[in-house]
Amino acid sequence: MSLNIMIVDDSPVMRTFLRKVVQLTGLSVGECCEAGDGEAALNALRERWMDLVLTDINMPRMNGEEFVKRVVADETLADIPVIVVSTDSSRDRIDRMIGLGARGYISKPFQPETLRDEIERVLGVQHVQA
Amino acid sequence: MSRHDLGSVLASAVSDVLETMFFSEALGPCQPDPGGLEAGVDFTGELSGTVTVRISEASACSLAASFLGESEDSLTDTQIAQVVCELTNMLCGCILSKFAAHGCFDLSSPELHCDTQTNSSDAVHIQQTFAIDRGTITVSLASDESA
Repeated sequence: MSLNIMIVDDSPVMRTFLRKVVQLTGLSVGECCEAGDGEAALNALRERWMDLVLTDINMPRMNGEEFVKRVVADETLADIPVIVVSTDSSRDRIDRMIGLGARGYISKPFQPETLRDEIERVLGVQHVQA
Repeated sequence: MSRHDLGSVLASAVSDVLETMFFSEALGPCQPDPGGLEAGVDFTGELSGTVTVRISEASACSLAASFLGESEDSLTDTQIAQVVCELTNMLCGCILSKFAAHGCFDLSSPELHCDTQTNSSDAVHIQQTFAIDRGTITVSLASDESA
């Protein structure tokens, strides 16, 4: 089964990096969409279902915290798992994002295997095929 | 934290970021190449200050190619600049996580500097330069509070 993944980050080059790392991990990826901030991501999610969202925290217009809150609060989107990918590795931030409803958290810098392992943990190994 | 410890933090952060995200490495301390691209990130929280990165143009191009998985010839100046900004962003986060592991910081969006900027009145300032593929990278940490 292929995964449809959305990458949310205000840095175009980070979105490209994450897309390539996801593909390199051997995960079966179907569609890979991108958004530059939380508001654009929410609008896109309401148009097309995604199996997973990877999101940054510091973004203009709508940051990652607000984005996660809105996803969790929306009954049509709440089942979409969100993994945070951020330079902030403080315990306070991680706990806060998980408390808001993020299912996983990856601190930059990270090895590609770390991203793969976190995606597999969040989705359950049986959902992922190489 | 002593200047020596701060220096170790910077060196460790540079190694971690270059190796994991750019598939590259820092080759050891050296004198900086002139010119290059420079970007900065401001941080606030338990401590406030700025992390600045200056990198040789050839090195920036090489790292951008590695980061994006593209050939150097295909890269635009905008892409290279964005990668330098992202490198600065990650170095700032990595330095702060080693410098104050339990602290919570807010980072500004990284900005490319048109002219080389100097850190003037900040109380704590440390700078280190490392040799990397095709040039050098200089990382500066300036904080307005002592560690």
